[in-house]
Amino acid sequence: MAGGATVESAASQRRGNLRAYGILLFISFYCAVPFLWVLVASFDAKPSQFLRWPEDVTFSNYSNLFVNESGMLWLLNSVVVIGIATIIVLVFAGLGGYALSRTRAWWKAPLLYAIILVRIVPPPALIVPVYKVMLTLNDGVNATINAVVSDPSQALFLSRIFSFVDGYLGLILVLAAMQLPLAIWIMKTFFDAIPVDYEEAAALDGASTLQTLRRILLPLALPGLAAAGLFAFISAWGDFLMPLMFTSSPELQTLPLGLFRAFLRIDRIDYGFLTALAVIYTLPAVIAFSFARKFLTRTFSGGVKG
Amino acid sequence: MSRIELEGVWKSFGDVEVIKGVDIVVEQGEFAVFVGPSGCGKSTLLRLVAGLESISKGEFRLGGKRMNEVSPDRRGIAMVFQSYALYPHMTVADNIGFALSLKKIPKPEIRKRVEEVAAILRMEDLLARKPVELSGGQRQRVAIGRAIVKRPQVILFDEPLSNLDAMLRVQMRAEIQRLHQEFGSTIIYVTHDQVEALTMAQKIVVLQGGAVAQIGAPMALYKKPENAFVAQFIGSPKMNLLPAQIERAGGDSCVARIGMQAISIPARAGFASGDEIRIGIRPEHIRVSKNGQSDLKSSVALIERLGSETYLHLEAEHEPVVVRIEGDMQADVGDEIGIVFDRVHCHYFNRSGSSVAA
Repeated sequence: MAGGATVESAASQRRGNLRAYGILLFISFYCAVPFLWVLVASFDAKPSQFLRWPEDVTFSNYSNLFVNESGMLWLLNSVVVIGIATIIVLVFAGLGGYALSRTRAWWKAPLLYAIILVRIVPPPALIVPVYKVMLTLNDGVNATINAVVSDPSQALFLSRIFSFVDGYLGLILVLAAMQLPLAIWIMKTFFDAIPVDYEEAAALDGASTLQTLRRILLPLALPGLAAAGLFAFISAWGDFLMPLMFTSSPELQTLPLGLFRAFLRIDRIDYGFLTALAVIYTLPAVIAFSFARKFLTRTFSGGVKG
Repeated sequence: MSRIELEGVWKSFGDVEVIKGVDIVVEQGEFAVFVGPSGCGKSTLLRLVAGLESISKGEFRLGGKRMNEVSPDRRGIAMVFQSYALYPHMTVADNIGFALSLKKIPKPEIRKRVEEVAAILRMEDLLARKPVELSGGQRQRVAIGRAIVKRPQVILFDEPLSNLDAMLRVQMRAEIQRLHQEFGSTIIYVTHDQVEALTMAQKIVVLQGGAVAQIGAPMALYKKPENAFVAQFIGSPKMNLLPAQIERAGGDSCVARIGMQAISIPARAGFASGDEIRIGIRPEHIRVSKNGQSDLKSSVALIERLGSETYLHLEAEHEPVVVRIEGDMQADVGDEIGIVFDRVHCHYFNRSGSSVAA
């Protein structure tokens, strides 16, 4: 009878597995549907608001986005603004995280919590004071530009770059500032795990601070920087509020704003255009992730005995 | 030109004094071991010499030149870290050649010197590997290679063998001594293991609570400890210390009382009736009485038989006493045994722990 019981339990286990996989498959499909719809509809000549296989596969939605609309400009704006903001975040988070990890000063803990507090406050709550500060700075910048440059078209160009409101610089700084606290924490925690022995060994080997930074700390910190940079990039890439608040000129419009405003157009909803835009908007985040993944999984060990 | 002099050196972290006025001289080419229990300041002292910590007070001179303000890389000192601190992202060859590459030495020259060092340490086949692919002993070799490739005047070792297993430790001990003979660098070696100190050192510095307890050659420390701390720290098993009281002093000998039993000891200049002292004697200098006459009666608490020798753990007047006996000995736990002290090898320490000389 024992053999019969085994067969029975094996069969019931198979049934259980089948049910589990069935449920998982359903949940996965449910989660994947929006992405699938966006991807499929972007190649559909006549897309609707329901998921269906396109009758005619076409690239016209994409060509429309880049040729007739300002898709390329929005993409470039987003890439430039978020890219520079991410670089700024990496530089300051790397240096700041290192300093905060190594210092033994009494103000270390209070400062660390003060930094993360910036992140805890919901960004909309900060809009008014930040806007006020930026506006004041903006007046100063524009006054300086007007004083130095006499040609109006040149002044407009410079103002577009260096303005704190409705300029690249302001948007870059605000986005970087929003992402910096978390990045500093990530880097601080990461440097905590890198023994100070490496730096001391490098000092005895005759390395200057700069050489230690470049040849020892930077390679060791790469996984941490990748993590911090990825979080900063993806979070800033998805940020909608800051570009909305700090830019108004169509020339400065970034992808999320372009998408939002395309959706709000009153005459009609062009699903093909919207989904193509959504795909383009998603791609850089995916690329950033696959790029950073290489570093994220690379962990260093074996240098010091644990 | 690599004589090391530490003169009145103090180091404090905030209010905590870690090194308290240390005077040490290590001669050129000498192998000195700093030994002491954890927290005695031996690693801090090493870091002061390396320049990884600043000296709070006092002076450190290398080859007669004051070094207090000289940065670590300009001292001509190499260090082997307890953790090895091999750069994990570099190969073994890059690890060893790192210091040379910083000095802008041409690549072929670096490769030549790295290969030389690899040959000395017998690790030519490891050069292309990363530290993570090495065993503990191999990492240790790389760490040493990284130190000697610079041809430093002074090499500092910070507990380099503490992460290795017992067999490898013995092997590396011999290796480090061989390197010392080959290169003739001045070496300061920090350890908490007195066996390492005794076997490797030409000079031992025993540290206690941030101060020097005694400096001397290994056998001098073993045979003539200046205080009870050194007496017990050097030697394994450690020296027996029996609290006693001088009952009668004067003449050629005095009588001391250990608990309820009296023992006669040679007279010492400082002894007076009523003094509380400690009698120190090593396990190998006690024998078991065979004719019924003994200095102290004791009972057997534990027997450790190692084949070539036997350690008897006894209890005499509520004090533990360890006796070392050649070969095996028939005895059982609980047996009453009389023991005899070899007076020539007895040490006497006064109440403050200092040795009382004859």
